[in-house]
Amino acid sequence: MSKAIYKILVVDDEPEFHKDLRLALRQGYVFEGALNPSEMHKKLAASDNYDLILLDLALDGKDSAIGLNLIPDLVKNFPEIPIIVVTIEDKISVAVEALKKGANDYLHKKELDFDLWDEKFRDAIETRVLKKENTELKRQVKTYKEQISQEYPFIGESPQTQEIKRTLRIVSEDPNMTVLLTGETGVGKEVAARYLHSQCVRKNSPFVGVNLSAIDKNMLESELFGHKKGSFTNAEYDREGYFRQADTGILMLDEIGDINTDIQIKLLRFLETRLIRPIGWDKDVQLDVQIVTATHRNLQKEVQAGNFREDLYQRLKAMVIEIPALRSRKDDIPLIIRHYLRQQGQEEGLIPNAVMKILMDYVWPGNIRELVNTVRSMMMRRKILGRNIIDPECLPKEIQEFIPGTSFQSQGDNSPQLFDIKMDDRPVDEQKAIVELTRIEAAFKKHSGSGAKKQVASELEYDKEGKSDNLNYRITSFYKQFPHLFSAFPVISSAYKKYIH
Amino acid sequence: MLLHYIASDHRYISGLSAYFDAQGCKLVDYEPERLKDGSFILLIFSPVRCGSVRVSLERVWKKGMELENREAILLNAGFEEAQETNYFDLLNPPANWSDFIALAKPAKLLWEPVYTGGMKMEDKLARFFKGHGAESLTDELYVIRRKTASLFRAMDKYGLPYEVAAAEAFETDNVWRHWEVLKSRWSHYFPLFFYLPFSGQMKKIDASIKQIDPFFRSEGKNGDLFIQLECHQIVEYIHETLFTIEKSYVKGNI
Repeated sequence: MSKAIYKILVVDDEPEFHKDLRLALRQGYVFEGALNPSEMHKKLAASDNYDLILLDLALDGKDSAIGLNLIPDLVKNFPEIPIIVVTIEDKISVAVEALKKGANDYLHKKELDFDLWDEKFRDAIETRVLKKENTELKRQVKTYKEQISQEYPFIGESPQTQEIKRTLRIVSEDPNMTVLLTGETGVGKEVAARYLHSQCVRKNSPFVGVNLSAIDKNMLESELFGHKKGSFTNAEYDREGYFRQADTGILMLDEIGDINTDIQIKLLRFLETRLIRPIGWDKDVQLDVQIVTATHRNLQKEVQAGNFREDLYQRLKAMVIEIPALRSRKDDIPLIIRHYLRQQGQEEGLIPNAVMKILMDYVWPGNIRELVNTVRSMMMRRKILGRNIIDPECLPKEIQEFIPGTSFQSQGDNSPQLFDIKMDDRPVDEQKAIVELTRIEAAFKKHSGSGAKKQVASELEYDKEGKSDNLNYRITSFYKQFPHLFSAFPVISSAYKKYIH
Repeated sequence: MLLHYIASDHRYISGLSAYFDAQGCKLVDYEPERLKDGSFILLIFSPVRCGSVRVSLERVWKKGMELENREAILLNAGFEEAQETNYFDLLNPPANWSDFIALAKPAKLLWEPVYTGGMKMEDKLARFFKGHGAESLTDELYVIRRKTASLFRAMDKYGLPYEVAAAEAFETDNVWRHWEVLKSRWSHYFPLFFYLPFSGQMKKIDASIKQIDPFFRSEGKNGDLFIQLECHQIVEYIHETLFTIEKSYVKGNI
């Protein structure tokens, strides 16, 4: 690999020194010369893109003070350019003074060694470059952290959210506490974990979030604990693994309920010993990582079903924090929506109170994730429909069903009200089924007769791509999974009495 | 007992032969390579004539022993009237040599040799290395070395032909004049270095200077000489040797 070429300003009253330097270091450097301070100032005024200044001290051949006195101004006016003093003066006190004034290094001419000088010049320049890069990286990391914190803000002032934040702040005081975050999908478990990270002593160390269910099960051990090159087929490179990446910081393992027994054992070992062993290594690695896990599953039930180790569960549940569903903290909904609008550079007044009320009344089975997607979709529909504000027509169909006067709840029949069904305790899939069945039930009420199914399918867009049997499939599929729900949906049950008993 | 001696006037030795015979001592001319022997004892008949001057060598020798053999014993002999350990009064030799040696201090201990006249060698060394303003021997050597080192590096590292590199190196500088100054300075001082702990190294430097002199006398016109005579390597050797001596004997306290 070819070396970079650096530009050096040589300040020395001896012309032969300039020449010898050019001859000996003729590749890799471009030298410019100044024989006295005045020439040096002219050169620097004309161009400050020097990578290094080589400064002689006795610029009149006698007095080292001349060069020494130049150093502070050079440091002040050209802080980016390193200075190496190269002089015949061999008094230690002069060297110390030069370094104190800001020179980066001190070379004695009589101890001339061009190879060493080459090395020293490059070191000084490259250290400066590294420092510059380091400063830039720090700035980028800071910006990134700010972006992350804006991207994952823990928004909400409801009593439930305030309580969660208070709990997380208390938990953050113990940087070794293993934390289990539970709650439905989309409630903001990662946001809560990042909030914990931002509050604790590990806040300047890494936060590594891993969704375990998104990783190929065969690769999970390697992804988490790392591996040595050649330790298995396709292990072409050493891999550090998420645990080591998170050293001194927090590792958030999302969907912890989805990992197999082997990984459970390794995780348990880490929690007990703080040791991991990457694949292909013959020794353990000690790490300082706080583990935060999260799941939407009921781990206790998984233990009972034999899918999750009891001992690991006992370890993980040292500190369980339940993140409540969005529907149970409706006061947070306007705040989250406003935050999202601000983030998108939109006016907060874009959503009128009436629509906001509808959004607050909705059940949000997909929680915050669904809310954010819904706002995004509404913004798009507003543009498509050419509206100034987001009116009810911009709402997704499943939410429109809940608008008073259009939804089946308000029709005064004897159907069970959706909000009478206690949603909070139900799994997400079941909640979604309820929402969809409610829409279908309402549609069936509008259509009757032999073509009702086709009309309902068309209205609810189940007939897209020519699949007119999609509605049948949905109904039968829901019935297989949640037969107990159908007593609450009599019109559907009647229309599909062939399948529903 | 073997007793090494340094004397420029051998009449002292013949005059004392009966005394040392009686004490069971055998006097041998100083052999530099024996300095590291465990029981090395050196007797300097001081001051010693080196070239045209008489010099006192004791302090430089004590430093040399501290560096090379800290158990070695340095004695100096002279006509000063002094009752000091390690001092052999030529007018009043010790009656019992064994007692005298038993009381003598090894070089590692802190003591000052008795000064018996002559120019102090430590001062001459300091002047050799650091005197003469900007034309000290080391100043001259630095300029020469910078030339040979840059020339050699341009050829060795970047593959420049000698003619091209030399044209650049010797374009304006009168390195040949620096060489003449160095030789002159060297020939002036070299006789002073005959009886020192590092005399062997100084003799090698003298031979080295003679070895590469033809290149400098040809004023660089003959590139083959630069390679064949190993000018760069020899100049580096001279520098390294002098640098080590200066560091040990001049920069340190003598």
